[in-house]
Amino acid sequence: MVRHLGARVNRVLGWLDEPIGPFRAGAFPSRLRSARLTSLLGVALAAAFGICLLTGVLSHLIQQPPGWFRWPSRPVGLYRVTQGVHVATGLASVPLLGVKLWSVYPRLFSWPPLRGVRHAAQRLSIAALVAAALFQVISGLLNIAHWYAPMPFFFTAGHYWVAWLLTGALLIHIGVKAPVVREALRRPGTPDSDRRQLLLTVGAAAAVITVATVGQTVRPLAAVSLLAPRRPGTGPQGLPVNRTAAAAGVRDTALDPDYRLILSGPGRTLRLSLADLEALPQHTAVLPIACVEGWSATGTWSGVRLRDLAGLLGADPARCEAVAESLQAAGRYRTSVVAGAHLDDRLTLVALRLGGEPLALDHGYPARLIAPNRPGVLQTKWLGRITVRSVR
Amino acid sequence: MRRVLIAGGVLVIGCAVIGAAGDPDVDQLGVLVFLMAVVVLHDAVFLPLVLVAGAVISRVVPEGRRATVRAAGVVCLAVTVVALPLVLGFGRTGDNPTVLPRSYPIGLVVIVALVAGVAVVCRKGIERSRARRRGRPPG
Repeated sequence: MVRHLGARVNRVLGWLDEPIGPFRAGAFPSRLRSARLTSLLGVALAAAFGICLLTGVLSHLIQQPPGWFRWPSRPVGLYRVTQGVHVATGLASVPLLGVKLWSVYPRLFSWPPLRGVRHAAQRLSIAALVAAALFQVISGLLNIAHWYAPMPFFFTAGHYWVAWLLTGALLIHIGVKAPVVREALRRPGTPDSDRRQLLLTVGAAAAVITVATVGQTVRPLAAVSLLAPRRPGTGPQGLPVNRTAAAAGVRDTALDPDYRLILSGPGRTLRLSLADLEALPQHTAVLPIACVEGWSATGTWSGVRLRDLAGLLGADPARCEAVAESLQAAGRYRTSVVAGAHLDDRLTLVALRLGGEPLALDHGYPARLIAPNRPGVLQTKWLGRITVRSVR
Repeated sequence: MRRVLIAGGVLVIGCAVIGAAGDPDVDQLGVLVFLMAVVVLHDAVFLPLVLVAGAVISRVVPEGRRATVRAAGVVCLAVTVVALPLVLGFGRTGDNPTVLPRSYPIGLVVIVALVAGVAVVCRKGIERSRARRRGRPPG
């Protein structure tokens, strides 16, 4: 019995000594893998992730501005472009990341698995890098498809913090691998048509994915973007909707004939009916709704300038900010702050109409905020109250 | 310079961990589970299947056409990964038809067919130009 067990232990130890399966030398026969291929893909991927980080952090700062942060109201479409680029770059990095990981897959089975503390730390940082990269790309994909069930966390917060994890792991990786990459890219690469073809393939895949999706924000491509999660021009009054009146639970309050927009300022409070708002000077602005999910669509909005409403309260728009509150009882995006640059902009409206018609209920009837160069979630719908307060 | 990058990276990771731990909107366990799940699914399921598919192509497709089939396969696979959540369509809700307004299964089939068609045409073009070059006397 004891001898039997001893033999078994010996056999297991034998396995540990001798690499098996994917750990064997020559387990991965493709000759396409090389330090040069991996380096080229790595540089491209680092650039793509860098773009995603910058555009993503920018959106985070705009939505949760720290004291030092100022975001201008012009150019009108800047936010739209940054978020279109964020999502398009993330999608284009799918083939880059896939082939990059394929090119280094054999290293997962390096033998022996651990060679001391330094090696263990390096492998741990690679694990963090791979996990964070897959996390960001996959959670982003799920988010633009509005499929939240597979993610056991709140997407926005998870995507934000893992972006920093990815950034840190990527910095470590660049620091560790810089000499290898420099060496691989310095030598004039042996002319290798197979490698060139693989790189061309990755580029082609990224191009196909881009054309197939970018029509969600680049309107001329909407017809050929067969995989765009949104379509500009599709929706009530030609605009897509993120949160419907039914989902927000505002149907009854928004349609109430006794609706009043409560305007309150330092000295006074006004209660304006829809007729009161319509009696004020009306202005028209052509502005996009630009979503952090990378889609956008332009509408022709008309209504009352927010700075005119601030003027009714006797406030100086340049020295104030406005807090817009929705009729929604709850919800993460129930309120938004309109800071100086946007409050004072002539294009910032309390919109009553879209394309000449009264707002559709799902677009925020009876009144919504629309301002230039701002995320869609801050363009508060179903306005119930606007509070103007002075800032230092 | 390398030391600065590595030290900076460690610092950023530290900030990310502390920040995530202190953010009431973050479900730390959920994020950790998802981080591990995507690695395991990629390294132990997805990539092995891709390697098997590559081996099948090597075995089944004649050598002259292997490169083209592989290239078309990589493009189609990448497009399918992007399309999958849209094709499954679990993000659709009854009250908002502006989310996922298209027929994504048809879109994916059209794109895969186009990629295959372009691959065939390119292959034919390469073969023809090679044949022409071979037919011409050198010099």
